[in-house]
Amino acid sequence: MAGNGDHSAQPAAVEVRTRSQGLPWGPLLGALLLVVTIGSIAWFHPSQTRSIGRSFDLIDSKSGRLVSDRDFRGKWLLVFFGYTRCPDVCPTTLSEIADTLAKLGPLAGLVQPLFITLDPKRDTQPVLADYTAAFDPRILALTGSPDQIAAAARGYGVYFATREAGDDYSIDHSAAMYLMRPDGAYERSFLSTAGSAEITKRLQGLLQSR
Amino acid sequence: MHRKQYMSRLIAAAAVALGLWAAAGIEAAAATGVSVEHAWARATPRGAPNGAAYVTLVNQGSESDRLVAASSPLAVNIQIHEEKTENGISRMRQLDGIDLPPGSTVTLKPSGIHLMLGLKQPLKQGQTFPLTLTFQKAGAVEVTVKVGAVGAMDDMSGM
Repeated sequence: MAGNGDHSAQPAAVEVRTRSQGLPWGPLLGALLLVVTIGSIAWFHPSQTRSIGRSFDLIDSKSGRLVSDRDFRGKWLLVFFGYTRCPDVCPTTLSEIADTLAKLGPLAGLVQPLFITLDPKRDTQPVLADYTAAFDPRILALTGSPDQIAAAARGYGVYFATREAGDDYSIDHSAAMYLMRPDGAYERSFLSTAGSAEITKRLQGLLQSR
Repeated sequence: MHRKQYMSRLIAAAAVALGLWAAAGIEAAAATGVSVEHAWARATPRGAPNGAAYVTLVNQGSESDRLVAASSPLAVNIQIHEEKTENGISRMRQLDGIDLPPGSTVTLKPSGIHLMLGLKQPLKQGQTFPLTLTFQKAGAVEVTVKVGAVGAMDDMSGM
């Protein structure tokens, strides 16, 4: 680089070399910004959102057959994770779901409530089938291997953990209800404290607008 | 006084004293001001081994008391549990007892404290069953529990 005479020529030569060898940061940043912007719009726009992760491969407690989330396309899914020995939140929530189905009347045919057990060891198929039928025969209980259950819970972002209590155990768990659209995309969640009046109102708005 | 008269009066006095003492035992709870109201439970689906019963505990006395145990012929055991939902996560924890300060009322209800019954048989809507609650000072208090619907939210005392 060291020149010995014409300093005015040297800088120009150096600049040209740098520009052709370096990265075009301007256009790159511009492109990145564009991608991020489009990505953000897609992410937040409900109809564009894919049901990333909220898939499952489980066992239908009534038929004993394998079912996946894809088998329910065309229906709105109202999904709740719990276990039959939970004497408090689970009966309350399933009762609200049953009331919601009753309040929906004919629209209830568009909705498939699912109860996914977090206790496949003790919640055998007959126990599950009896359990949900006690609230409403339209509620379908699903079970599976511990791995399948864990995968389904993970997909929905459902936390669950066993708490030992002597010979017995309880299960701490996320208690929300998740609503999935007929195309498989995630719509929204309801708090466990949401009553049938609120859930019915929201569902009616969604079911009737299609 | 003749001996016969003395003896019969002594026996009568003893009988009265015995009666009063027995009555005092039965009334101990009332005397301490502790009472139990609105005892109800949820029906259980066939096969569900746990049931939930709820009561309202009232302490109108001037001394504190504490519920320490519960039993029923329909249950192998009964534990006191509290359910709490925080940040969307539901957790249940066993309690050793329930404190009743003077003048307090503690209402057991869904999404709160409940008596967890290790059932010998399912609970059916419409049936009733006896429940004995044991307090540290007031002793044993027996109530009749009414069984409501499987997802009932409160006592159906009007029914």
